[in-house]
Amino acid sequence: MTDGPLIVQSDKTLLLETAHPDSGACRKAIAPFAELERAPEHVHTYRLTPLGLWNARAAGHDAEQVIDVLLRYSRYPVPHSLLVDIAETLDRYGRLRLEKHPQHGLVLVTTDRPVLEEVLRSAKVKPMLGARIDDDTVLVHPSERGHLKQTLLKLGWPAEDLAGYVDGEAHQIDLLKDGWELRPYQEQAADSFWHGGSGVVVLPCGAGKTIVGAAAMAQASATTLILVTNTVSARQWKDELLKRTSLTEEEIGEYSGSRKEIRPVTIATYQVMTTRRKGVYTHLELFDARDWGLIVYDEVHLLPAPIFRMTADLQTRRRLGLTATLVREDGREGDVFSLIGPKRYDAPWKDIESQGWIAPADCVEIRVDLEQSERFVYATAEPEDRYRLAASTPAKSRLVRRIADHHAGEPLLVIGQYIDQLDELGERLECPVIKGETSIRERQRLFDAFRTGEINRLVVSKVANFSIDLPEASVAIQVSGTFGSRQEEAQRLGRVLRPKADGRTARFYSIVARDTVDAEFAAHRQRFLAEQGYAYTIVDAENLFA
Amino acid sequence: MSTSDRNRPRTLAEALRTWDDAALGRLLQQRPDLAMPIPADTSQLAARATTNASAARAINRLDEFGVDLLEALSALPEPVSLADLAAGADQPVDVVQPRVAELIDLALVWGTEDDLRLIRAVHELLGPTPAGLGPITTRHFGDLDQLIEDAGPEAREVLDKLTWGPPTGSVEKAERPVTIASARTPVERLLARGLVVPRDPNTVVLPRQIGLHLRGGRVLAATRPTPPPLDGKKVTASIVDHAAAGAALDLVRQVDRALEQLGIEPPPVLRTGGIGVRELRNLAGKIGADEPTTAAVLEIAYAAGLVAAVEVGTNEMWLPTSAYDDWLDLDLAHRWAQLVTAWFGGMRAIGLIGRRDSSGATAAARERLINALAPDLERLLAPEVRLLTLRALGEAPAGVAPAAQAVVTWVAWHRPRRGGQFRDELVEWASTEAALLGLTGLGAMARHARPLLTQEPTVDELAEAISPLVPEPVSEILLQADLTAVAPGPLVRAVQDELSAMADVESHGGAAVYRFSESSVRRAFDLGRTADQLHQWLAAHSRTPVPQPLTYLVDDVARRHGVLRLGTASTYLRCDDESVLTHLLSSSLPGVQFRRLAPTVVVSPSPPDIVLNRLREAGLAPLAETFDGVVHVSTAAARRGEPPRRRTSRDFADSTIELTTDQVKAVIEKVRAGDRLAADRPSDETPEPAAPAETIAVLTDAAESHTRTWISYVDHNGTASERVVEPTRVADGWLTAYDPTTNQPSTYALHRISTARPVD
Repeated sequence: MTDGPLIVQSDKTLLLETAHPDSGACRKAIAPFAELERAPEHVHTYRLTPLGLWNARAAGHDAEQVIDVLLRYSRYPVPHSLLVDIAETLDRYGRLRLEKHPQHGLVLVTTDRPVLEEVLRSAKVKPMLGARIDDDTVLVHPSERGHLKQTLLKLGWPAEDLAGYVDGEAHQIDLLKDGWELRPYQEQAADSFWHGGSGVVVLPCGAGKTIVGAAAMAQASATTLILVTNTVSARQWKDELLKRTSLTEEEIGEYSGSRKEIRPVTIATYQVMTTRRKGVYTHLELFDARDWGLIVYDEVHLLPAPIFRMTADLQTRRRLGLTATLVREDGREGDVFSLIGPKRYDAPWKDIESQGWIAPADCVEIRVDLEQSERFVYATAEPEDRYRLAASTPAKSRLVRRIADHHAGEPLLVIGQYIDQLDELGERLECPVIKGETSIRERQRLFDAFRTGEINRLVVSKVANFSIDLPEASVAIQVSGTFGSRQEEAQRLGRVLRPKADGRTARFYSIVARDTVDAEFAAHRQRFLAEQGYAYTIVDAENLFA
Repeated sequence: MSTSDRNRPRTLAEALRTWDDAALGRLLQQRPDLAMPIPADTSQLAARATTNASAARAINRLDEFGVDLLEALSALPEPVSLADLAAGADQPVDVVQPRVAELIDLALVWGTEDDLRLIRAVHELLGPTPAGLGPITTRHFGDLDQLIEDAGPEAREVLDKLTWGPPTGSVEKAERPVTIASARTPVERLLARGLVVPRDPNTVVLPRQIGLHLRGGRVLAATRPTPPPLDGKKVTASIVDHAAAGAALDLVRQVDRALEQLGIEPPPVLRTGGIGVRELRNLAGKIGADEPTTAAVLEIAYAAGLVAAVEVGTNEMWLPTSAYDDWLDLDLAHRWAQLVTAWFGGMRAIGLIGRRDSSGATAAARERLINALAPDLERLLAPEVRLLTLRALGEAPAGVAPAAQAVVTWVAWHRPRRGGQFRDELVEWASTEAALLGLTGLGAMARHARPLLTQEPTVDELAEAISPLVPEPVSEILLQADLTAVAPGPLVRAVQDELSAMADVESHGGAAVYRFSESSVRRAFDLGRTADQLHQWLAAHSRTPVPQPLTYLVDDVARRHGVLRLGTASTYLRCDDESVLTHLLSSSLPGVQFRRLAPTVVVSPSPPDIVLNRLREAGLAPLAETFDGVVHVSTAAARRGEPPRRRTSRDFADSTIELTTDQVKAVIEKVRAGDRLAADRPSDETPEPAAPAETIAVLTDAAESHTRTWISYVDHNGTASERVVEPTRVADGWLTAYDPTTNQPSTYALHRISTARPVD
């Protein structure tokens, strides 16, 4: 028995005590095969999943190494059944391989015939395969490459994809490093992606995911299709690419509701891609419009289901997924793994913060009381109305005013869910409100004004949840949200995480009505961040700034 | 014992008489059944040693080579010298010699080195075709090789098939007369030459002389004087110990969790004994193991006496025993050691669970799957094979995890005549269980399991062996802002109990992760903790400062907890004039208690009529009201009943309905049966209900002698009836009997039959 920092649990979680002197080395050793699940202050939780283990296998780790690491760092004896399970799981990877056959094209090859027989018997796999070439080889319909991988993964026999990628139409793209350099983690992320071929890079909000995208494009030096959440974000991508790369205005096209440009680098929105007319996705041909060498999926945790289906047909092209929070409230992480690719790089938020690349943040949960009359209305309200009632109590508006006054002069965002509430806050704070009906041009103008310091207060609805780059915002006040969404909370915090010129600590206030569903949702919303090590301070409204 | 120094004895008894005390002592030690009861003299000892039962017992404990030597001895024509035997077994004399000495020590073989004799019982036990050789024929053959060649190459092929046994082949009309001249087929040519002889009309057999000749003088093809090798994967000893200890700790936890769960939701004991499949699956889900593992966990706990079938009211339940509480007080190493020793000495074949019960008495019973904790899982072979399996694992070379098949073969070599396929299965089960118990890791034996090989180990010895690998219990936890608590090791029991009261376990293992939630904190309050107590306890046991969200959670729940109170009362008193109630509370009424809930409300646990009377006696004039507040008027009205329903002619309107002939027949039969019943009814008017044992005796006798019997029966509606039946069977709590009134057999629950009398 060693005195190691790691405790291996029989339910396949690994507990890493962060205060232990070896914890850093141990973290590095287990990172390739264990998924970081929670990273609160003292003990980080990793989990051994088949996906994670196969990922490690794909990256060249074998069972012996994994077991050796566990035994080396484990404080207590590791259960025999767990070791056996790890070896067996790892052994399942690579029994099936997707390869390019010189005559037949894409084929599924096995090194273990019974496994092939087993998957051939599956009714789901059958239609994706063609004729059997010999005992160990079966033809695969090229269009089913993604689906097949997805299905095989579900059957527990992940296929190793050795069929390679098309290079796509070459297009020179260079990084313009005039006065800036890739940060070490950005470089690592882009490299890990490139060596893996396809996959997902997970970085905190504000850590410069766009740059990772740009670096990947420079490595590919090929035509690139970038899929983003909305038009504002598309413009931001364009600006960033113009600033950071050799690409010129003419080389970058925007494919959105308002413009339909197809250029060597094309930025399209999820919304336009999923627009249907008479049940047909009318903009699907964009995927075939050029011989794309790289496809970038921004905010991959929001990737809508139709795009998943389209992505299944794009398995010969390199795919890069970017996100801050690979938590899908719909639980489709497995689809991301098999269709975009495995997680290639992941950095805990607090690590990036300690390196100074994102601003430190104070998260404060402020509890307000409903007034006596409101409590009565709340108690008798229909269950579906309760959250709205609790979340938009007037007590919150008064409090927002107090906080805004306290932070007078600092760039401040108020974020909420309910338009009535936001409008009222806008009036109270005498500042503009950006919501769904605000035109793109107007949004753009207001964001620009905010960036330049012309205005320093903005009230925004959930349209600003993602990808809105407001570097100097240092105070965010959340008054209401989409029920218990964990990733929304993290994304909203992300709005204030860009490092500040003066190194200021960002503040994130979440106002919660005590003893209502609002408080319950808040607890759930905070879970992702709490697990990333952001400890919320809870303050009663009356004690705030006291 | 050397055989040469004896004067040729003529019987085993004579041989035994020449034995010295040490040799006799060895014999009795190895075959203790010979000493019970104490034999009167050597003749009796020899007689007993040569009984089939005693000899079988001795042979069953022999390894494969020992049995092979007996087979060879049985097959070879007497007299057999040591050299003959060695040649027959195809092994050097110096390998065979010591093993023959052992067989002589066991009194299975006697005689001298140039004339070894088997006791008769061994011949019988080995059967008519020892070593796969047929019977000796009296016929004399000349040049056998020549004879065989004469029969032709096809005949030679037939002989080759019979050579290494079984020596019989089926042939139609084997007994037909054939001569060398009339022989046509290869078999006929063999028959004509006497190279095979008919055994019965459809079988021919190869005579022993021919068989031995064809085998080239050898009796056995490939004997193995040493056990087969225990080959397998290479493993590192330290990893083996580590993995095994991990499994051991896991098992202790699983037993604990399973029993804790049984204590909360005790499953019923099935009618056939054991625990139901659904309950087992449920339990498996709760402890996070698969069903076979859960069954094994329960069985191990059962063997250790930690769980038992207990009568609760009218039902039997599986409950943790008081020994479980004692077990919980032990440290982890001793808990484990106690489980291991219980398993090691147990007779139950746990692997049978989930199979069909081939030993069942009825077809239905044989169809049934065997449940965990079912009775009748004891198998004599189980502990013996378990020990051998562990020995196999223990004798594997250092750094080798023997393959499962190698262990099976090794054990089979040691006990070739025991159990066959069932033995092989027992070996596999024992290996699986050894891994579960943490005696092996990665398939190799752990060092802490070695004490099991040497002697009957005590719990302390085993506990000491594993203790270096067992983590020290901790009493401190780490509290985190995401509302989790991590116990970085096994918790001291008191801390664990308290923490479990206020948080839910999220992850088990060497450490434990607990999660605080509103409901878990409320549970602590429900158990009588206060917010202050929780705060203090958390601060005292946390290695880190208590995170603020946790403090808030506790306070939040505390604020809401118990805001609403409920209780029961039988009577309430309300009065707008507070002073009346104050007066009432200060004066004590006999036998009535009051509690003031509010200035104008008082409650009492006594029923309203009593309270009313006491209040009246005290000179007050209370007014009773109903639950919804209406004044309850209690006038002493005279009591009235419901008018009866009178019959009218309409009730008889259908009296002209016609009966079918079948119905008529049925009625007549019923009547006749009633007459017979009356005639058969015991003379004493109303027989007293008899003792159940007596009733069963009467019915059993009746079933055997097919006597008509009068029974008094209470059906499941409680209706008593009498009938005369012809019992056919009494079993499993049921009487099966032919009922002449219905003309078919019926069944009656024995416990519902109050009296039974034979009718003569």
